[in-house]
Amino acid sequence: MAKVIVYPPTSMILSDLVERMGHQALVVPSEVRSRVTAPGIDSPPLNMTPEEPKKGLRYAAVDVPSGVRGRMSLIGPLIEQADAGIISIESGCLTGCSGCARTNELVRLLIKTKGIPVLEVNYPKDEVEARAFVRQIKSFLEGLK
Amino acid sequence: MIRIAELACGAEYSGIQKEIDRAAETVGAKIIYPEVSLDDILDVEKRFGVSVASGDLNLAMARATRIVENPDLADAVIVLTCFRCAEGAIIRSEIGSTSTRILSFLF
Repeated sequence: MAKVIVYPPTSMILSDLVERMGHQALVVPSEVRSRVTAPGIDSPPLNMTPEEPKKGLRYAAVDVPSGVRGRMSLIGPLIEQADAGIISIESGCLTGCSGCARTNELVRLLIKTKGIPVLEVNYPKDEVEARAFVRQIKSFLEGLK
Repeated sequence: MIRIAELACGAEYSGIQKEIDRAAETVGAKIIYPEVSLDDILDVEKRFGVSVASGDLNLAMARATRIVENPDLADAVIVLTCFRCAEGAIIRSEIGSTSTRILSFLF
């Protein structure tokens, strides 16, 4: 079983495909869950405190906007754990996103430069493309150990 | 109670949302988030006139247009975007120029 990071990192479609193929999907909701179920919620609802942008400095420079660094404190640890990645290109906000295009660019960059197997697929626009989309992802996931 | 509409794209992720809530509480105000539909967000470029890539900025723009169309929704507006974000700065300044009841700030 491999740990697979999906992009967009909140995509239920991609995470479901990964789980169905017997791998572990690394997604933001699981990271948020660990925060909000931890004892002592300092800053509801996501429990993001002013400390989070500081933790994001591990992944982005100090002059990168604080919103990007805060988001990276959630997504960055997931990228570190990843054995493989699936990137859906031009998926739009409805597929699940972090809300910040600049964060999305950084996430894609870090996934690609990590040196792990990465599959880039175009988000499908019709049923034929959707079938090809699933087939490509299935084939990629079957090749992972 | 004073209703302050918050239009922001990353206040939660920047870890300052609690401070905003606390500041509103100290002046007896309540932070509100105007309801918008999915179509409002997807079509916001046509009504606002600017196209940006970030989903949360599109949401902020959709909320801004909703308040402009229905001024009774809020008594005041606070617009917040990240410091050093170019597209955030453009949207912040555009929203900030629509009314005098708007406080524009960056974090």
